[in-house]
Amino acid sequence: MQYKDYYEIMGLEKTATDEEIKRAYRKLARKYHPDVSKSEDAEERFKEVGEAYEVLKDKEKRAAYDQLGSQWQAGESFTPPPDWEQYYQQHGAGQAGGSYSGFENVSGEDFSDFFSSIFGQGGFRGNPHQKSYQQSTGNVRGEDVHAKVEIDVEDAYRGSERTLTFSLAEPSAEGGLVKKQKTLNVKIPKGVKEGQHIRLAKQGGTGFGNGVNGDLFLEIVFKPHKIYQLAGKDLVVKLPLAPWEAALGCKVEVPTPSGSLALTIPANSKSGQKLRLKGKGIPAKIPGDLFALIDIVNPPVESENDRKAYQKLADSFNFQPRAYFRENAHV
Amino acid sequence: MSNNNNLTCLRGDILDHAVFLEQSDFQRICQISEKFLLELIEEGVIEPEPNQDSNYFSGVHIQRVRKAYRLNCDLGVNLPGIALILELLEKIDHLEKHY
Repeated sequence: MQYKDYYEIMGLEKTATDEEIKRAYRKLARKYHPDVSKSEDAEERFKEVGEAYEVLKDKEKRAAYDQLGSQWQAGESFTPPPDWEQYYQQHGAGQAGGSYSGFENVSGEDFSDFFSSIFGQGGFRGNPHQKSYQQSTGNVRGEDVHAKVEIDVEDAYRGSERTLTFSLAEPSAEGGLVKKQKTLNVKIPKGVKEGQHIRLAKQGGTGFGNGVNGDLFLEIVFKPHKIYQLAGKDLVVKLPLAPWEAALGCKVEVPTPSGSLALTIPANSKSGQKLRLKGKGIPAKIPGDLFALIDIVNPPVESENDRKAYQKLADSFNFQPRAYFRENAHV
Repeated sequence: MSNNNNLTCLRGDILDHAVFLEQSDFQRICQISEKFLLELIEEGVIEPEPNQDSNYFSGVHIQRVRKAYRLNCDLGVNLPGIALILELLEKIDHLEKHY
């Protein structure tokens, strides 16, 4: 397990005041909120910041964390001191429990191992709008499980299978709750889109008494792709062309998740123009389209020969690329 | 843990625009309270499907509601703020598609 420097994560000094901690958290939460941020590691950073704030905003947790000492370096291999549990229990601080909505992974754990080793497990955090098992007698519906499933663009074309493992609070024979692991093989149908939810009825937690089982909900998240950009059920692929290819027209091969296609580029194509490949987007009753976005790239001048070739172009055209400046600027 | 090879492969239902969910079901899936749902409707963030006696919601709204919930929960954004952020995010998505 790695030591986490919560101050460093928040960009704070060890002497930071409560006000400074709060301000740093607000700022970073806005910056890394996965619904707002476009950076690939947003979710990870957001969780990290949430965990750091969970500790630093709480006087007792912060004191306990500071007590670990400052000799640790971020990322260093960490084991809690042998008498740690006793110390921490004596000095107050109850159960961990995040106040943020959480972007749980399949295992449903919000905090790092490092956090859990110091402050204990967060306990079961089921649906807050559902009655807990302990408070009720009789028949209670099982816990719903919500998980995210990361897939590749190609999976949406072909469909795929995933093996999921998650932990659940299940009623035990004694009437309490035990944490159990459940493993399922799930089919991800072709044609899924970003953000869609798949319901696997009754595959969540076991019901109590005669209560029905909870459901399992999977949210589809696409891994970023180096070539394809998703736009709902459409796909955009950037198509680099040499200036002469765009000017003279040509035939190029364009990759698609269902195989390469030959695409005819008309003469005098311009950067930014989009060529539509109808029905080559994500499969559906009415499938999406694939758009090839023309991007004209200039070969760099690297030799005398290259320079001459460009010069020849310059000499043979009377091309005014900025003519509209003259037409529209009123001096 | 059990052997994965012994497991049958389960097929789920995609909750898309063609799936209409009763209000209680919709709330449960979105993990939100009735109060929050009603506030979202009032603010025009989502709309129930026009249906005779009960409130039904299209599965396509789940993502939007979850986003709204997270913005409210994680950043303390209020309802008009949520509505504005969702609109701006959609605008950004649209611009990125058509750059």
